[in-house]
Amino acid sequence: MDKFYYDNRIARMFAFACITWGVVGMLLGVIAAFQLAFPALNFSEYFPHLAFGRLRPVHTNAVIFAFVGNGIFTAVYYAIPRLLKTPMWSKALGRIHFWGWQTIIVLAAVTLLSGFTTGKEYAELEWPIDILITLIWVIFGINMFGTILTRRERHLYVAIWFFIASWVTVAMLHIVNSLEIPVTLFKSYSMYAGVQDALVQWWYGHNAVAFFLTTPYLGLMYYFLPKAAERPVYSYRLSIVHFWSLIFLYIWAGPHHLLYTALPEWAQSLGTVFSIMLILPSWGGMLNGLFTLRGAWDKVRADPVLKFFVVAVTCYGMSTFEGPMLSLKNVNAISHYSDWTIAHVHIGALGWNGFLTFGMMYWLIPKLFKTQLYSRPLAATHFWIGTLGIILYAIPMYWSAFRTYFMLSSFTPEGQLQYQFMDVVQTVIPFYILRAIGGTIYLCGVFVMIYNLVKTAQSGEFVAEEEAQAAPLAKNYVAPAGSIWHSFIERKPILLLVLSLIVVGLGGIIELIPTFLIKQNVPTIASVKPYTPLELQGRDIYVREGCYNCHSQMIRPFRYEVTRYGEYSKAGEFVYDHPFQWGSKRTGPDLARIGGKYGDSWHFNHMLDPTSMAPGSIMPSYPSLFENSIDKVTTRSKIHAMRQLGVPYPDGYEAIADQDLDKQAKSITDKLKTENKIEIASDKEIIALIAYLQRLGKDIKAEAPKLSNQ
Amino acid sequence: MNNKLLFYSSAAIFAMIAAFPLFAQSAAADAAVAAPSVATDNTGTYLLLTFVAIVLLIVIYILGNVLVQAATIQSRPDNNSSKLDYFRVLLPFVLLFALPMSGYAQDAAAAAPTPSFWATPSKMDWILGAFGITILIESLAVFYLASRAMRFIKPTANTTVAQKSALAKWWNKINNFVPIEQEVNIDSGHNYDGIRELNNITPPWFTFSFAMSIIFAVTYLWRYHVAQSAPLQIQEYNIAVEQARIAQAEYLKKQSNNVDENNVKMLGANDIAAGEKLFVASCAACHGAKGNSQPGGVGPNLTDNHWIHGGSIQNVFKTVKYGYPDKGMKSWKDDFTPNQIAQLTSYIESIKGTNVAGGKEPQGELEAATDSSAADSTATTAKTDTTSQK
Repeated sequence: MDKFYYDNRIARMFAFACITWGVVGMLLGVIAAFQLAFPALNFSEYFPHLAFGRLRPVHTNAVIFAFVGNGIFTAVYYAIPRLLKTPMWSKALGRIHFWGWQTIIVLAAVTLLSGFTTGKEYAELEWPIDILITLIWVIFGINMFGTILTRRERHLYVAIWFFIASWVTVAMLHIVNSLEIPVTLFKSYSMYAGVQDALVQWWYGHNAVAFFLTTPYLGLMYYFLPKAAERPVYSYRLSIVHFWSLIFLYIWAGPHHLLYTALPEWAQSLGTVFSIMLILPSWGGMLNGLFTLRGAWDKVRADPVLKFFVVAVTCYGMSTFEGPMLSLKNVNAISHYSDWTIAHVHIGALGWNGFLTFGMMYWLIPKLFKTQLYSRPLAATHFWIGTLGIILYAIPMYWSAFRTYFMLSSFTPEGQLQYQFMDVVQTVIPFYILRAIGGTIYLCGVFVMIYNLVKTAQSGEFVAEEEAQAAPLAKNYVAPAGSIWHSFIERKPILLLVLSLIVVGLGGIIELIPTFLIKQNVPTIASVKPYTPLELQGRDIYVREGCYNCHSQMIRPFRYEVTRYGEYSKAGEFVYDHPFQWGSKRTGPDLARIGGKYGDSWHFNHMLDPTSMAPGSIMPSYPSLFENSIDKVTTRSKIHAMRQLGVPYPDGYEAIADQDLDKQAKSITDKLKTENKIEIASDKEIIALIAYLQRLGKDIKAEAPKLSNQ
Repeated sequence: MNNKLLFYSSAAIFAMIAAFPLFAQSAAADAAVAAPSVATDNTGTYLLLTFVAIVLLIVIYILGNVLVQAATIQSRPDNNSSKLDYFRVLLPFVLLFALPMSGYAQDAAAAAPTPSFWATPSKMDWILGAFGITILIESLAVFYLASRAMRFIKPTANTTVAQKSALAKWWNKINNFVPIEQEVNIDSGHNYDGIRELNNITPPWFTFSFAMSIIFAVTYLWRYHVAQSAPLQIQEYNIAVEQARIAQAEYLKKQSNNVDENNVKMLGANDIAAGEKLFVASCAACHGAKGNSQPGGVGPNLTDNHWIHGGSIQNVFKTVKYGYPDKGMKSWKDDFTPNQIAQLTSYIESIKGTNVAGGKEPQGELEAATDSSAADSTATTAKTDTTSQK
């Protein structure tokens, strides 16, 4: 018998980080929610950093990677040693992992608020941070596999399968989606353009949900739920079936984020059908969780931990049914770009991730401090507050989504659109307020939890090192007769890793490669030309301010969209878009063909005070654009990077790009002066942004401006 | 296995759940092909949403029953008899449905630069209302189930332990549950940090529905990409546009709404007032609330006698209808009906030459201050003392 010690300090560190970042992430969410109803809360008169377009990515990144991320690591560092009967392989690597991850989070918050962003959702972090993430992720992997390879338990438990598959898939997704060409220290362009960028991004985005928010949390569930319920896991067989089917099918479903867009339809259809096939594998996890509670429902009554788990698993079941429904074309026509998607992800995030985390904390903290939970009634109160918060969050969003759809798609019998976009904005504001209240209530529940956990910790004594004993593994092992074939894989962690990678790699390869290699998938349009240097600078400002968080640039082939926004978008229009900016939500109208719709002075006034040109608008104002000068130092390297990516600027254009930039800027300021008596220096950022907006969607009408040297 | 019928009937229900997207999809496609009489027909969508609502209800009911049934079987009497606080449970719902209403009431009460949504109840509102009620019922169902569970969880005196309802039996049957006492027979022998694993078979309906979803997938791909019996997105779009064109033409045939830039005439005072409302709502941003814009303003002053694209009623109608996008004037033909454009045009004609103070400097050609609408006998009021000012 070997005697050894589990290190509880690292689990405690991750647990505290998880809760702390959870509060930060949710608080930012609440602020962002209120900003949508009360634009003054953007504080953009004072500084540009807190405007919705910059804040929302911090919220999403904080909740996904900081809150849930630290939740995953808490579970991994607590459960894996116990499931394998060995301490973590390296304490030092564990510490590097912890502090590295927290550094990434802080850097993420600072850079995103400062406007350093790649403009790809949930992958907004710029290239130096991407590299840091990769390093820390590898360190995490080494530590995890070191532990697995030095284990005293012959077979790997299902929780560990999920941790391994998650680790390898996230590594693959992160690296492929983050391929980018650096321009400056904090600016890069995605390697992919337009349709391809969109496909890679949503292959990543969807599977960030799958392999960051779902599979590791299934691993978490498989450890903590049976532990808390003190019941055997319902079905080992079901574990095997749903593990492999889930990771295989999940990876294909990404294109369901791009239905009715310019993505080739075969890829869209794959996204739809694989989403439908995902229902049952997902439900396998829910069933195994809920059925494990058979015979323990009397405990659910008394134990807040199990209450949280039951609702978490139920929310998981609901959202994994809803998700595939949203992948059907005709449902997606309603839900895409609407609040329905927001409601859907929050059922997952608040219900599944949030409640599972809370349940884990209520179970884990008393264990770490060798004591009882301070107050069960308080935990039960948290449970009810949280549930209420979820309901108050979700229902207004569903309602607003249906309303929005019906309003946007109505025509008068004469054939005109019945409602202006502004009517829709006005009609959803009460729902936004309700939603923000729901989120606030949910956050209040978290504070109740923190109080309870602090009191719990104070009443006990922290067990830094927990003693355990186990026999080392015998050298020679003969599987008992009649053991199932799968147990062979469970004895071979590296094989499990490789098989997982093959299984998840398959779907990605089949969807991505043809889209890159086969020409017909992105038919070229001769009149589509690269952006002028001024427009390119303007586009980077558009990305920096996070305009894509509220505005799409993708007109779907529906009568009501074509009438409202113009000709539906074609794949060939986006070939120079590094990164693509199709967006995923229309809080404001689509901008794919905004070019030429209004005059320059309209945009000028609108950016200074949106309500002056669009009464009732909830868009923040952008006064800083009128003070900051265009960063012309970067023009050269930007054009150079674009040329490296295959954008056909003429040879040597880098050197003279700024001349074109100045010329175009001057023509815009001259026109503003003569026609509208607006005096503005031609080097201000607003001029670049106007140039970019006025270009959008024009190429297809063969109105692209000419570059020098051409 | 003595009750095969029960098992197959339940499996069939779940198969229906799994297969319903297929029906829904084709139902919507059929609805799209069937010629609708109104341009705003969304039958397919309504059907689908109803489907979703019903299926969600079933799901909620089933999930809730897991809780309730298990609680029924397992609960035992307890001293704690505190009751579920219904007020606390229902309050959020009251708030939830009361608040948006008051929000709209405010909207409606505010002077209406944007058209009030509730002022014109339509088919859409009824459908929306129906959905709201469905969602309400579903939410109440969840809470009903939850409160039933709570009753078991905090049991009253008459809790029955031994009796299993027919539903509980059915539930055990379709999941092929092994009674808890016999669990030892299916223990896999695994023990990970105290976690044991049973080796229950996967529920039969699970396997069956999974197979159905795969069949759905194959059928879907076949229909769209091999047999091509369902329209792809651009075909779908063309069908929709064509249907709308036919419906619109038929409607316009019956209406006297086919006014255009060639036959537009100055309208009367009521229409001018209506035009003014439209103007304040949609045009004021660029042209000022009084139509005089402002010095350095975005749009030209409409109260002087200078016109960039012509000041005659025909020309103004044309400008509003088609716009001059390169000059920043957008086309409004998709936003306003021809009648509305005529109202707007009449309003603009009525303020022409009034030279409201504080406006933008003149742009375009000076047109003779002759009253273009003087020829129009319909223009009677609202424009009597304007020409004398200049």
